[in-house]
Amino acid sequence: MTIAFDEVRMLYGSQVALDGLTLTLAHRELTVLVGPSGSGKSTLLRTINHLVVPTSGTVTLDGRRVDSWKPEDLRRGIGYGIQSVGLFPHHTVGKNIAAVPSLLKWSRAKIADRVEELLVLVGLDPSRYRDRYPHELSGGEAQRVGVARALAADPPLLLLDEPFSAVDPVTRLRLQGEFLSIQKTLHKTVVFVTHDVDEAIRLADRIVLLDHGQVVQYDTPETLLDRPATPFAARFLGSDRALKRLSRRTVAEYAKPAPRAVLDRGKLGPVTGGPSRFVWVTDTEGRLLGSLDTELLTGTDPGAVLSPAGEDLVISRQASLREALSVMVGTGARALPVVEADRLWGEIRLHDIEGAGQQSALRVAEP
Amino acid sequence: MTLIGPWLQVKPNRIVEGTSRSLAFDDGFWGAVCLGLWALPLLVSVFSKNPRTPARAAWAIFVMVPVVVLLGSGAVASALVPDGSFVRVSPSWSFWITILGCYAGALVLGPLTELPRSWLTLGKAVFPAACLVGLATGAFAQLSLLKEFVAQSDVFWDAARIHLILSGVAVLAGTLLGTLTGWGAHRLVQFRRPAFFFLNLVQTLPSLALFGLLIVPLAALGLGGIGPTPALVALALYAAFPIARSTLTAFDHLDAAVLDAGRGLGMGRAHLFFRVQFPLALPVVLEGVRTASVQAVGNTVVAALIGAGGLGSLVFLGLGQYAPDLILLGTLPVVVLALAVDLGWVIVLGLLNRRVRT
Amino acid sequence: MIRRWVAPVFWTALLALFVVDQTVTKGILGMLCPGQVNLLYPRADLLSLTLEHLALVATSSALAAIVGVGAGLAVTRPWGTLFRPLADRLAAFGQTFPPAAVLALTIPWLGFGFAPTVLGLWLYGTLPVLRGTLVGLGQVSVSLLDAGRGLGFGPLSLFLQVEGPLAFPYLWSGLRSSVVVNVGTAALGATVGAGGLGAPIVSGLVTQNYAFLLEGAIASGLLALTVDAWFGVVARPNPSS
Repeated sequence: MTIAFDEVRMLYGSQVALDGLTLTLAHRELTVLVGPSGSGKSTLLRTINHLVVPTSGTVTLDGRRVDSWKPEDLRRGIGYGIQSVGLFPHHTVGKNIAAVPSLLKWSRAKIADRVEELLVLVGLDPSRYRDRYPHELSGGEAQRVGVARALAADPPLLLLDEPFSAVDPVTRLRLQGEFLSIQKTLHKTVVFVTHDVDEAIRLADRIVLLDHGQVVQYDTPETLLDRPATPFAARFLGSDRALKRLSRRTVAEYAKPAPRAVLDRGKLGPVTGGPSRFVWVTDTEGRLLGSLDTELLTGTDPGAVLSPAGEDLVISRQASLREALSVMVGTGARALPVVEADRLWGEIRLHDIEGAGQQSALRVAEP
Repeated sequence: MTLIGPWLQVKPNRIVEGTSRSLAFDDGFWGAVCLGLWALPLLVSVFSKNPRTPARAAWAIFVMVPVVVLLGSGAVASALVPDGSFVRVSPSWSFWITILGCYAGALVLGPLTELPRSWLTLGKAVFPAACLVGLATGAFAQLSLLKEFVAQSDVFWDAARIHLILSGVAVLAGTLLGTLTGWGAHRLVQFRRPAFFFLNLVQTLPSLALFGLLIVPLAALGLGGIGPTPALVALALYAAFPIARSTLTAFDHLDAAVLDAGRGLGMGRAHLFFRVQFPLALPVVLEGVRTASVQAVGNTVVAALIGAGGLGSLVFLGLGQYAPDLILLGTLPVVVLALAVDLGWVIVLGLLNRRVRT
Repeated sequence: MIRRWVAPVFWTALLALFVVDQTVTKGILGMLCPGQVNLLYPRADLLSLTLEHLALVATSSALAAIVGVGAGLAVTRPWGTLFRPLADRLAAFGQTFPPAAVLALTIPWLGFGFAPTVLGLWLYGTLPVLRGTLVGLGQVSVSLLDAGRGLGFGPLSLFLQVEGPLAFPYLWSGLRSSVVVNVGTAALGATVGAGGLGAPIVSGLVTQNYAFLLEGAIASGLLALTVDAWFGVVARPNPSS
């Protein structure tokens, strides 16, 4: 579903909320509208489902004007989630999720199946949550139900207005990650509003940076980070742009095979994965035990010179390069074991991270 | 621009034989004044460029018309009633509707005028001020209501005095009973349900019924049947309910953290109560006393039926004789009193809250 | 589930017991007023008085409900907000205004009897209903309605499924208090020729006949308690409280 804005202007009295925006958002992409407070991002979002009627200009979905539908019909085909979630307090979780399907007159059986399916999708156990009431839910749980409710009628387009802003930072990160994996499965066209630059960079396929009702830049996060179009954009992205770029890359993309040896009943096996002074030591199952400086090996007991692996010195495959860098900076390690389900999967080196950071810069230099 | 409001130029005044007079037909002078009052602001708004002017003009009209109507009625009465005669001139329904309609119109238009609050408050005060000035200068002296007042003035002041005493004592007694009940209910959970069941029961009963139900046992006990005693008991019980409820709420919802802090600082039980719990609970309890006192003023009217006296006696006397002036003489003061008591409490609570908030 | 029916059934039973059968009434009054010869109010039997009273209350309260809820609804819609301050002021005024005074003010112009009393009771009874409606509708959060509209609820279904049910408990509470006060005020209707259970009370006061007094007082008291209890059946607690 392509969304096109043509000279969209929105005035509240004498205040300009949207200043003649012309923009086309791509099909099946997660577009994030980001900008400071008052930049018009929520207003722009709400013109898509006709909750805001522009003073002038048109908004079209796949070429058809948004106001050519009856508003209710339009909105039932679009998923909508807001910051305060807005779950109906007098309906159970199940009934909340069933809101739009009920309006669309689905059969009861179909609705029940869908509710179950969605609760699983957002990570809530249906048997425990379906009959609960909103006031019994934590902030994170409520947000998940909100997302489920937005997805309930399987709309091709999803509008989300700061859905994760009202929860604590830890929960927010988790929700972002889960949303990303949901989106990888569903591939919906999503328009997502946030004021948090890091959230935008982490989630977006493309970012629309807004300021005072105008589009400052519309690009992929990498391009935005490499080449901010205006001083405002550069300031908004923050002076740690290079680090932010790293949050878009995962460890898995840049990890290398780890030089490793197996410790079996006190005896160290041969070193595989390339010549290296420092090796990672695993047991026969591949579980990480620690690291070892081969020059300190005197012969008899490898266990004596083994530095055991600590929890804070490992990194997972899905972690971002930025997290990996943070661990390295914090601990002074120049390489980290990449671990999956306790097993040593590979190694990530500081050198490789530096390379990733400069990679896009190199790309720019090429014609 | 549309101007909202009832348009009643016709203003009948009734004379005891029942002939009506209207502003338009009989009292042309005052009718013309009213029209003039409408015309001037309308002219101004036609010529003014400010978009807010029509609303302001209309608002000004709504503020001034009641005053004109009021003074006009007084003047007409003075003109029509030669001294010492029995002719009665009193306002009729068009008078009241005009005043109420203008009040409603001013209220609706208030936000539209975008005038500062001080102006709007001033506007609200114009009519009451005009009433007071008129009363003081005797401008209304020939209106039947005032004549009635003068004729019955001893009876009136007697009744008013009794009314005030009855409601006042009832509220005091009710406060005592209510705060104790509320406090008790807060400390002793088992006490809560029976106490509030009883008080709720009392509150639901019609006041006349309660008075009646109390008369019989009190008479049997020799404490006097008809008269102020059962009235006082009933009124106190009525007053106790809102006060008990607000006391309970006040203490229940006292911030546990505040109490904890106090105890942690080493405050003893009594110290904690007087310095922390009481000042914090007070505004909420007093809200209950406010509700109770306003209701008490109203309930005391019915007490007159069981021989307790008070302004209600004027009302029921008037109803029995079909004398509207007597009825009004009893009712208007009660309404004004209720509003005054409410206003008084609002001021007291406002002052109190300002102190607590710092 | 059953518990909420206990109170209304109990009070209805007591009321019926006292009011329907004259011998029971006589018996009870005889016990309470030993030595009184004339026990029953002569001008009308208790049952018809009670029904008359009920008619007064029912008519005026039904009208009050319609107007009160209607006005409350109208004033909270976008096209009605102009009149909102007026409605708020009226609703607040209704709390200060003494119920007894309303009959005193309306009767002189409307005359005596059943219809004028209904009118007076109606006018006064509208105010608590209006207040309850305004409070109820006012506490529904705007973002909740926004979420509903965004999901695709049309204005009618949004009201019927979301706004209405959430506002209802407060509306019901306002209506309940309006009707209960109405029962009490209607008792005063006896002084303006409207009949009802106030008549024996007033008559008893005038003639110093405590039996008449109690006849009316007990009946009207039971009526009020019954009505209040029936309202309690639908006192649905708000799940979010």
